[in-house]
Amino acid sequence: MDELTALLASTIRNATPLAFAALGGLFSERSGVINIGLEGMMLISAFAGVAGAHFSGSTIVGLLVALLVGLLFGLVHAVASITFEADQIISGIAINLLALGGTGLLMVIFFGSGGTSPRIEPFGRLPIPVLSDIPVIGVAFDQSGLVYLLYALVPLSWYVLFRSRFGLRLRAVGEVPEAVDTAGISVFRLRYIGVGLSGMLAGLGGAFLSMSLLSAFTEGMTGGRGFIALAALIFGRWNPVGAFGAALLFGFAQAIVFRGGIGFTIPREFIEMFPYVLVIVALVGFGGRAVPPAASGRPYRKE
Amino acid sequence: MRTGKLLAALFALALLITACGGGGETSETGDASEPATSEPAADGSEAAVGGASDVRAAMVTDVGGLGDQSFNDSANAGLERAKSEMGADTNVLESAAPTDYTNNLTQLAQNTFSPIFAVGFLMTDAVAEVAPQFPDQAFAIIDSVVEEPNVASLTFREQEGSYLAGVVAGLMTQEDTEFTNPDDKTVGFLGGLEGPLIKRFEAGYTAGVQSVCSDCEVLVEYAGTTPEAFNDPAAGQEISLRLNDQGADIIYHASGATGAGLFEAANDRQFFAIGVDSDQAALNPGVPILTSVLKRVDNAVFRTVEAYANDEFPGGEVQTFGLAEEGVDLAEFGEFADLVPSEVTDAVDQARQEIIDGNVEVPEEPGQ
Repeated sequence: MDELTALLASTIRNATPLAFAALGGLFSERSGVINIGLEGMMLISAFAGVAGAHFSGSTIVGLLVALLVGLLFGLVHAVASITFEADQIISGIAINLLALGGTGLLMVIFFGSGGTSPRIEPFGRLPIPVLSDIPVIGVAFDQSGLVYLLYALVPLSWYVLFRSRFGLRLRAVGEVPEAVDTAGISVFRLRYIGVGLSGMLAGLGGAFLSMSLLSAFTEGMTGGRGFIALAALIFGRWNPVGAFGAALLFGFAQAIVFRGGIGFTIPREFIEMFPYVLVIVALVGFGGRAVPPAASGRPYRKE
Repeated sequence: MRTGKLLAALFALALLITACGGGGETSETGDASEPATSEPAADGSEAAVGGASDVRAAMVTDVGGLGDQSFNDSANAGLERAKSEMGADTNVLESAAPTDYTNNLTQLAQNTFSPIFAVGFLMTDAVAEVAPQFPDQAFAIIDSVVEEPNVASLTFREQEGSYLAGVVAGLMTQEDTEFTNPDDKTVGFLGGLEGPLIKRFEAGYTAGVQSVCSDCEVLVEYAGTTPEAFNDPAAGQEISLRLNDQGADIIYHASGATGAGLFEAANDRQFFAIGVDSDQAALNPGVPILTSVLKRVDNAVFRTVEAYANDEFPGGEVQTFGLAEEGVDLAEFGEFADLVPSEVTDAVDQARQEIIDGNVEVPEEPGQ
């Protein structure tokens, strides 16, 4: 494999979990609920997927379990921050801590010891005929099914958000919930859907890590990817296509660190701070400021 | 990250307690001093009947606990051996959180256990605090040094085991098997947190490779500079794939859970990995893991109990366990033993003997 192909392959491996979780953050934040619990939702789903696959013997069942648990954690965040109007940041932190400690405990309960779980049968590669034979970029079409799912979800998310009635309402709830309420549409219901979707998408990111990229769960294996996904979401200006692009950019930066093969070396610490520097750049506004949804972070209380 | 984990564990515990509806009745500290945390199997009821020995040896695990398939389990195996071979009375207390260390050590000391093993460098401060309060009893700390007259510090010469892994890698990379390519004499090393401890593994491995293949190249890569570097299999996988792209067909890791990513890459690309601490080939059937460098905490524990029974307890001393003391070793070739020619096993045996005899001195730092 030549270096360029290897670099692209590495970029896709690094970017996929980020992109799933960034799409997750998108649906939550567009509905007006900040979700810094992405990291925890990824982690718990990474565990749930492996546990489900291990005990059922089926990778597909494992994926469904991961989605279900992601949804469940999304709903925990929703109940706390929508129904009980808790501080959304604190609820998110609680979810991250719960997932980190909880998976450690569940590892002992399910597998008898912490550390790394037994191996499962991962999602294998499904090369797409013809497309996968193209030089260099062909590697993008020699991936597991989850990666193709991501390719499909990016335009689909864009369509749902910006072209469907549901998307219009979801965005409105994130900007001026009062107006949506006045129109007789339930703000709570829309936000619950947004945060629930968020949990499932973040869960897909976690499941990709433990069931496609790797084939076992390791405690703390998300290693901050949920936060980098949040950075991708902001740098991508709360737009699915932008978030996907940002995830690819961050994935590319990581690929350079791991592969080193671009003629000169960049200190690892520099690349690790790269996503966050870009977020600051985006927030202070080079080429137009990145503005979050107006009602984001604000619980809605019916008059 | 480690503090995050602890916080998380506490948080989860708090949640559990509230969920059980226990209210304020159970306090966390009460839990730690409860003998309920002791391992029932390790209770010394037999020894009390037999009375073959008056040694009462005990250990406190670190937060990894029993069942970690690593050094806590290994230390426990050493105690079990002392129990069955010497009739020692034994006890094990597991630590749920670092706050339990001092409590557990104190509790064992008050129950007149001696020697008391603190398993893991995380307990360094706790031992330094508790040991002076019980000057007539013996303590031992594993993987760290506590300078007290009644504390034995048990450390390991990991570089010696790594040297043997290097001998295997240096010879096997020249073999023609489905996992190795004899044209490219390149092997790899994947380290976790870049620091003096893991540098010992690197130094021994590199020296071992060079000893049998002077024109072999050893590619060295570390997963990071924070404790997370021991816990990032995705990074381990990326680095391993890179090293394999650069020609490494055998990669040895000393990177904790990050090594799971190496096994993934080795399985995917069909090259050889070498495991660490426990027999990782046996734990990952089907994955091309050639062998593993073993850390025999059980032997260190057993020998120390034995020394105590013979009134030779090395209090105040730093003991290092290498090949000669059976503190480190190379695991048996398992699933892939058929691919290993007898010259390789002979070379390993010879290198082991030369190190034990003191003819070969294995460097502690790379580039020595």
